[in-house]
Amino acid sequence: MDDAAEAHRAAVIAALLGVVGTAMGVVGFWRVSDPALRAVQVGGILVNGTILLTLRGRHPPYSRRQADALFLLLLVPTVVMAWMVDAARAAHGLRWVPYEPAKLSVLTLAVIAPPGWATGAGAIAMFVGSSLIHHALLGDAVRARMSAGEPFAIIAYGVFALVLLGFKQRSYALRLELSRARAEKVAIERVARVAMALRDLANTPVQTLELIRQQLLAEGLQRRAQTDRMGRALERLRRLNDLLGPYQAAVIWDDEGRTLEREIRTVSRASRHRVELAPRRL
Amino acid sequence: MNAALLDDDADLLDILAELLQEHGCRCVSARSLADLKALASEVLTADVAVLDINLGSGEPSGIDAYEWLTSQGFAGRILFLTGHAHAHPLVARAEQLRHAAVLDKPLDGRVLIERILGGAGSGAEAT
Repeated sequence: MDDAAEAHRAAVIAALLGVVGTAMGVVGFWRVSDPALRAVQVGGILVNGTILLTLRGRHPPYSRRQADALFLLLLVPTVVMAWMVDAARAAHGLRWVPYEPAKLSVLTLAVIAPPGWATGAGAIAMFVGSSLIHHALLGDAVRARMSAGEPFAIIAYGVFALVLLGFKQRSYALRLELSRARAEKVAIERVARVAMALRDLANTPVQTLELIRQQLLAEGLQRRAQTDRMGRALERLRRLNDLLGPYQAAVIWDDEGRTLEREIRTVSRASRHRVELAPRRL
Repeated sequence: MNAALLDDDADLLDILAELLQEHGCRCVSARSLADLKALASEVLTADVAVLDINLGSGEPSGIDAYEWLTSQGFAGRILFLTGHAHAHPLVARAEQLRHAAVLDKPLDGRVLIERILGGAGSGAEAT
């Protein structure tokens, strides 16, 4: 799977989680929500749902940048909702643990982020940043009712999310490396097959020439100079054979290899047939 | 001495037969297993059989020829002569066969004739 396809997959998962998460938020925060929050939640479900249907109906590959932009765009309603949920819970007047939707979101985003640090880190920064801004805007009375540790807890979540994102990016890098190595191996194997097929094809005519040289040699000393030259030329051809020999280790003699071998032999036979016919045409 | 030669390359067959005949060896040449079977009476009484391993795509191989010869009670030496790499599945199989040696093309002409005439090795020897 290439980066564009991975980015597409990340955007699809983000949209799906956006729909599911927001629907759960509607139920979970029903008692504290006001009409504005419910309107944003409905808007969030509609935006995520529409993008989810659009992305599912459209097959990759398309631009990775487009997929990354969609991934970030999908988070905007969730960021707004997280802000409003915190505001609603703060207004509710009970003791509360703040920024829970943001904390859950940053950890989830680290796991589903597309390839490339920028998008994942940007997504985490959106939630941590909005929580910190919100924290700065809350009054002392509201902060007094928060569980202890904020805003360091949300910062810690952000740092841990970045660590997780690092592992995710590392796995992408390894996958890419593996994919490149696999492609390189396939290419080398193909070259090796061609080299081996050519070597195998050349050996019979070289043997024929060597036997002809042997025959000429036996016929008389007056041809000694020519047979010596021929011998040296054949020796060079044998050296070519030796050079191609090591390639055999890279060849896996499967059906594909045999097909290639057959193709080369067929082309060789056809060209030999043309050579045999040529004098008759003259 | 009699030799049975099997190779899908007509030029190689001709020149090899000519050289062997110059050394007093009578040769019977075949380009496929079907040809070899058609010449069964001469082939099966030969002292040595020289078999190319790959006889063309979709054609019975030199290994098939070996199996036919042994099934017919061929008592001579069997030499495989191949231009293929030893890693090739057919060559790898040929190397495991009993009472047969595998020679690599291209081999020095004099050495090849000596090997066929039995001057430098027996059928049980692997190269």
